[in-house]
Amino acid sequence: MKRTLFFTGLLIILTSISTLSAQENKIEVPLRFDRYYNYAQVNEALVALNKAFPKLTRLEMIGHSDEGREIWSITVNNPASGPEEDKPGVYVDGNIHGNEVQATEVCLYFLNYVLTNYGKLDRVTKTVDRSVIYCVPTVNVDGRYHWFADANNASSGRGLWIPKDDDRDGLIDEDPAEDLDGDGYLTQMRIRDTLGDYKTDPKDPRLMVRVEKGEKGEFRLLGPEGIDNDNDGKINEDGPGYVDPNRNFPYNWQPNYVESGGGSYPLEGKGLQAVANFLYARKNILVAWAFHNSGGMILRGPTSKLAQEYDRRDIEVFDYLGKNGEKMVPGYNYLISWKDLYTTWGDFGDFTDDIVGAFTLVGELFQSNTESYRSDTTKPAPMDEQSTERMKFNDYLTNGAMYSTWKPYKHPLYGNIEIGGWSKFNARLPQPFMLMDLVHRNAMAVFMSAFNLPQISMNIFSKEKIGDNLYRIKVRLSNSKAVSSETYQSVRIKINPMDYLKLEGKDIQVVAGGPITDQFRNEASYKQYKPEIQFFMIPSFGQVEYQFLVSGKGKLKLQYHSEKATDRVKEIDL
Amino acid sequence: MKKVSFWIALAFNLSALAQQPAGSVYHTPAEINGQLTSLAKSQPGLVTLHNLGKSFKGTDYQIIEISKKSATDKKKNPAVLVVADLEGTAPLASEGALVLINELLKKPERFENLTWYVLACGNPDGADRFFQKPLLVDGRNMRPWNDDMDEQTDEDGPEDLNGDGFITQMRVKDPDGNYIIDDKDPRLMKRADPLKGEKGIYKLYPEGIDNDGDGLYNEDGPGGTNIGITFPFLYGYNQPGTGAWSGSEPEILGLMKFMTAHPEIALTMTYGSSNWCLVPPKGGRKSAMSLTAIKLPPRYAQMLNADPDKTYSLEEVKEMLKATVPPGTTVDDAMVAGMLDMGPVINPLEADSKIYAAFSDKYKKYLKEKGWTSKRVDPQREKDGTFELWSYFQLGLPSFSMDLWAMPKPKDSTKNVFMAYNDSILGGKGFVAWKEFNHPKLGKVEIGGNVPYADLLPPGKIDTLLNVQVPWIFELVKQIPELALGEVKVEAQGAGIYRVDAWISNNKQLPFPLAIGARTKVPPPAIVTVTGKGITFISGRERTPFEGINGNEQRKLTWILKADNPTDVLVKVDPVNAYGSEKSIRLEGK
Repeated sequence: MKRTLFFTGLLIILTSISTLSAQENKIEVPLRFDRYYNYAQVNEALVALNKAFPKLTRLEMIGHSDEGREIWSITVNNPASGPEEDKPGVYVDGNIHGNEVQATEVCLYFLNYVLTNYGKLDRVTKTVDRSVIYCVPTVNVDGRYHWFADANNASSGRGLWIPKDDDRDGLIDEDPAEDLDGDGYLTQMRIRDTLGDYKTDPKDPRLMVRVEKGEKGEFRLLGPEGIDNDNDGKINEDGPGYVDPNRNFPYNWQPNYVESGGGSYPLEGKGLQAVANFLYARKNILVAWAFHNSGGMILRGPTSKLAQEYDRRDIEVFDYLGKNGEKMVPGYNYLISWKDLYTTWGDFGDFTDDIVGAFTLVGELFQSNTESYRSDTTKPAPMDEQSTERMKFNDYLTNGAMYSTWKPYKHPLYGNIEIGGWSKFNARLPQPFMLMDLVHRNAMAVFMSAFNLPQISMNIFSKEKIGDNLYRIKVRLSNSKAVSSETYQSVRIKINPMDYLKLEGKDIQVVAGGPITDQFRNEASYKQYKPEIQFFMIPSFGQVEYQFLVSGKGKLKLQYHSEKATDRVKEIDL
Repeated sequence: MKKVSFWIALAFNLSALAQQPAGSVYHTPAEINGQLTSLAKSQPGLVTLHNLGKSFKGTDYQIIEISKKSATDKKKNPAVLVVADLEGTAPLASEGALVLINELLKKPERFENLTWYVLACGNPDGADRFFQKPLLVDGRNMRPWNDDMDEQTDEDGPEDLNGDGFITQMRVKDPDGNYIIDDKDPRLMKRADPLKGEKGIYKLYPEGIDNDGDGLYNEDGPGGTNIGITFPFLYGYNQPGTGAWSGSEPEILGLMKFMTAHPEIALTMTYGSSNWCLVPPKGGRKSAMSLTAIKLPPRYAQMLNADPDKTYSLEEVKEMLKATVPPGTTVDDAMVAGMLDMGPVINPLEADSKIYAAFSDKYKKYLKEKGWTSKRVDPQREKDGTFELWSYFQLGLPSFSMDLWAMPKPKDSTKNVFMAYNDSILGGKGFVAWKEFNHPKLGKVEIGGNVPYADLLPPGKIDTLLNVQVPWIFELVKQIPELALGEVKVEAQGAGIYRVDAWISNNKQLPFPLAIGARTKVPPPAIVTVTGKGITFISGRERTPFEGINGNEQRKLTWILKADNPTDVLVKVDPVNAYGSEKSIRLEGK
């Protein structure tokens, strides 16, 4: 009894403490973007958005990660303007690589922006009303959790948290890197050695440069912080994982020996399965964005040379979005994944391009040269000045927050060494003060693609009586936006039913029908079977025109259906 | 006399095909699951069921495990996995698996040192269609799928118009036709060859009507995914019947998970449509890069001191690489392949082909000994995306397959194989004679053709057949690698320092691992451990990963140890999917 009381008391104290700190750091709408959110805070932010906009948003737990964390999605849809599945959808996600954290902030900002400006800015209101936004702000939730909670550097903690025996010694994840000096970062180890390849940089004593030929050395680099936990002669050779989530999707997938990180089989990651199923179930998704860091790029597929280049009709759409994006995010380059970067197998983008049937763009956020200390930032710093310049940036703009200075350490194997180097908030992601600009510009690129989701109108532009109860009807379906009504790729590889126009009426028979070949001579390429239904796709800023010969009387219903774009129906009297 | 009664039985079987002989010769997925469940109940400890999930239509997908009772014994043993009828159109394969399970349980010595995993019904939803009417050879799982990507799904399937219980063919005279009646056998149709002055008269359709009136016949029937062709090696992206993606169906995802969780599996056997026991897996697939004529990218050519305009063999590249890597680094095919971004292996590796050929010779000899001398038709080539391919090419395991039965080869080689078999053995029952039918759309047509499954299932009783075929696996598993410690030589160097040389030999025919396993790096290496009180390592380590030893080969490992006081030292070879061994040695101290 006493015990229960004690615990209750403790609970009250604990609760009050956590409320107190929660109030200090309370997450409310509008969300703040002068800071990074850890895994728990992202979820809190999503709940806050959902609470602030209950009618426009739906919060959904789509599955669990390999370590059992929840993966959440948020859907933005205005039910008053029509059901979700009838509107074209844009999907956006981020942080599939655990360390590429600001990708989540772009998603949160996008949601926050669209929701807080709905009803205020006409372009936003109209776009939201005629489309659906699907967002999974953090795909690799285990990765995000660990990147914030554990010691890391800017590049560590990328993979899924599936235990793997990387060095094939029968022990699993037995030799991770360690934060030996306890500064919260995985930095570098060096040892004083006159035979070493490095010496102190004359421009900044914290940095090192390579020695010239014949010159005496000062340091030998020993690699990232850590010890040889399993005493196999190697340091940090088998850390947590390694399956690379962006090499584990089931399109053009290859196993580990072909591509490191491919995993044992496609969608080995539990969370990835959830994301794949989520996407596959939403047939209306037509544009997909996935955010990564870094380099400042907007990438499109294909991701390997073996996969054919897309049809020119699809390239037109990609180019419109990509080239616009380049201008909205200065410095970013719109590139083709395999050609301009390198081949990847099992990429997320292939899944959305070739299984979901969506135009997929990958945003590689941040350029490290924006960590600048110079008056003219239009020209990049020369190679040999980049480190010293970043150090100046560190000193003057972050007051040393980005760098851990070298400190002595007694290493069990190497003896007296020094540990130091760049923190994890460096080179791949912006300092908080730069975050706002990054998230806004990139979120606007996503918005631009949502704004350009197909907007189809149906125009019955000619109805002529050409005989007894016989009519010639001409119909035009036009798309006033840049994104076509479906991807040509999805039609070619048969993953998406074609758009169609169907004519029906109670006492009406469609005698002939087909695409118009000559407007003025009333010529069409008539379809032999089922003339009452015509299949097509509607191109970017383009239209299709059909002609029908219809006999009978009464009401004729013309129905345009698209898996992706919004359906249109018209009725005329004959 | 005996012969006659056999043919009568056979004729009965065939006509019974249409009436579904459930429970008599072949077992339905539900019956198979029922058998497995009752075995698990009646033989607890020996039999364990692993439920990998549910099929699309909700049938449990189960692997039966037959193994030693004690968990520690089990842990020591390698395992074999037998999968049956993954493609859903080989009911004989499932019967083979059931015979195997019975054989195993009859003789406990078979699982004394080996764990058996058997997936008796590899494609429950597809296999169930064999027991449905009308009969057609189709192992897809009935998941709704819009094959023609029009406005409807599964709207235009076949119909048994003549009501004989089979889906056969329709031929109809058509000015656009490009078929003619084969002059050698009027039952057969052949494509007209304009170069020979032939002009097509007939159009051929599968039996049915154009339900949706789009001019196409049976182009979008209930079908779905054939899960047996959805494994991730040579998976047919966006191909008919391959589903949404490799692993989109719960059965295959479950099986891939199972294989990953059971690295102790040393060998796999697929009962289905191919036969790698008889004819080794074939190569000949076009690769993006040739292994015999490798062109080095300029940056590597410079590094290796090679000519970027010349081509080199894999061996030559390895030799050049050896000169540039730090001492102690092993240069293997995998390293070169990775460096040159050579992509996946798509043809069986030469060293492995030799092993398959040796096993094929053995199998043929085995059949001869069993009195099987008659010639059979060649087995079908494995389909892309099948389990047997995945097991070899991505898991790197010795993967065998058996079709268990095939039609006899006709004595007259000019004869159509099926018709010769149909006439001489089936008494004509395997073919539905062309017969006029008044088709609602096409008018006068003739319906006829091969009886579904007549060429895939043996006539008569299957027990005798399976009792010969199934036990072949007991010969195969005898060749699972055994890593035996031979001589362990201890040489005192003075001052308590000892040199220990241990010879490890693989006393079996299968290498540890296959060449493909060395490439994929999926089969785990053995770990050789050296443990003893108060010993320190001057050279070598307590744990040494060990692999890359061919059949009937031996290799030496060396350690230099320091032991100040007399002690026993245990040298242990501990593989995961092979047999290990251990030996104790004595160090006398300083």
